Amino acid sequence: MLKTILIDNKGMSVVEVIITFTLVATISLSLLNVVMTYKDREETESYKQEIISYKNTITKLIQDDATKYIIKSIEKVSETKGKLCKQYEGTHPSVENTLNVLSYKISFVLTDEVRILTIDRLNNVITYSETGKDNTREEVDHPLPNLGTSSKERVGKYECVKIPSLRISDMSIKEENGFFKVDINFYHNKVKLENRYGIHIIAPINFT
Amino acid sequence: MKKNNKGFVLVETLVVSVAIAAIFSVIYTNIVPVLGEYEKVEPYDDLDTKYIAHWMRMLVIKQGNNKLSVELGKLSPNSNNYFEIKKNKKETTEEKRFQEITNKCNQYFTNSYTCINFFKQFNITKFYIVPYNISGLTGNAGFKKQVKDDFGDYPGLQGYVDSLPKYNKGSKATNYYRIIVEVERNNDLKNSEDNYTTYATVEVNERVKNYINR
Repeated sequence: MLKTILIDNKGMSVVEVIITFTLVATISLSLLNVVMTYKDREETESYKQEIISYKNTITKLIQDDATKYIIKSIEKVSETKGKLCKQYEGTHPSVENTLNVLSYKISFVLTDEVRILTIDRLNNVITYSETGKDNTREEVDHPLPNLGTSSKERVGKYECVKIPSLRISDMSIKEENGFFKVDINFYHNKVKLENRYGIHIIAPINFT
Repeated sequence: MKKNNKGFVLVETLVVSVAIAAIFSVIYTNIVPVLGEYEKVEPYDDLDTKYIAHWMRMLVIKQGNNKLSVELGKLSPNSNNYFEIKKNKKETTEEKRFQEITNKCNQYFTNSYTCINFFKQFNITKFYIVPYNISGLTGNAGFKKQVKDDFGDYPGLQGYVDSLPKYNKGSKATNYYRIIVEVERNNDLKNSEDNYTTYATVEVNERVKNYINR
């Protein structure tokens, strides 16, 4: 009795399976680099978008008042100096001669209105007085967007702990040649922020 | 011996490969220019420059003298006329760079010191007042030709003007014109040579004038 042996031609051999997997893995790894690059870029662009949105909000608040009313004068209300972070690690210079400017409080007199602008570098907040309900003046906080926290980072001479990734790097408010100028630059530990991402407000004083 | 009919013939493989390659190339050529286009329009009409254009509009309305009114009267709809004040970037000294600005501020504004100060403090390199409907100026019409010949730095101001939409509303109205500014900004405070240029436009009409002069 002859046994008929059926030759089964279905399926793949082991070698074919191994070669296929190797090819797919190679293609996937080569594309992974491209995908990760665009993922990082997407994250960077979303951070920049939030910063621009915040910058535009503050700029509009101040410029709207400057264009609606006339800025008559600027007066520095207070200036606070101190250390750049709330929590430290390790040793730091025992004698600190130069304390950084942490906040400015400025009042500017408009026709029939007074506005107070406070820039607080330590707490990452810009406060601006706005006309609230019943025409009363209320100080409204505009905290910087929360774009992550750095567990440990060197800021100036300090080893800061749990410091926000996005913070105010430098700020200046001045009156120059009949113009009121506000310059606030931001810093993020992962994203390089050029000057264009800072707040740069310039408006004439007593312009009629 | 059985004939093995599995697999693909070479022609089928080639046809499929060509089709997939064509699809990917179409996708690629459509996406990559979009990224370049975004980078090109990024400096157009940002908020800071818009406010600078608005301040210049206030300067024109509040401190423009009769001579300026005569010049603005020539900006009829679809005319080839325009009014310009430019900083001469090619000059070596600050005084010469501001020569045209100083002369025209003296000639067309009641308070020339304020006018010159606006140009200096806002870092305005080019200032134009043109008819409202720029798209109505075609071919070698005055303003567009001027922009095209202007220092040859495309896209520059030419790119911005080309990107502006057609402003049909009010195109036939008189006393309806447009202000265009070019502003030089510092990209990085630490490196003053790292500059970038932004552009903005605002319109001027009776409603705006009444609001500013309220």
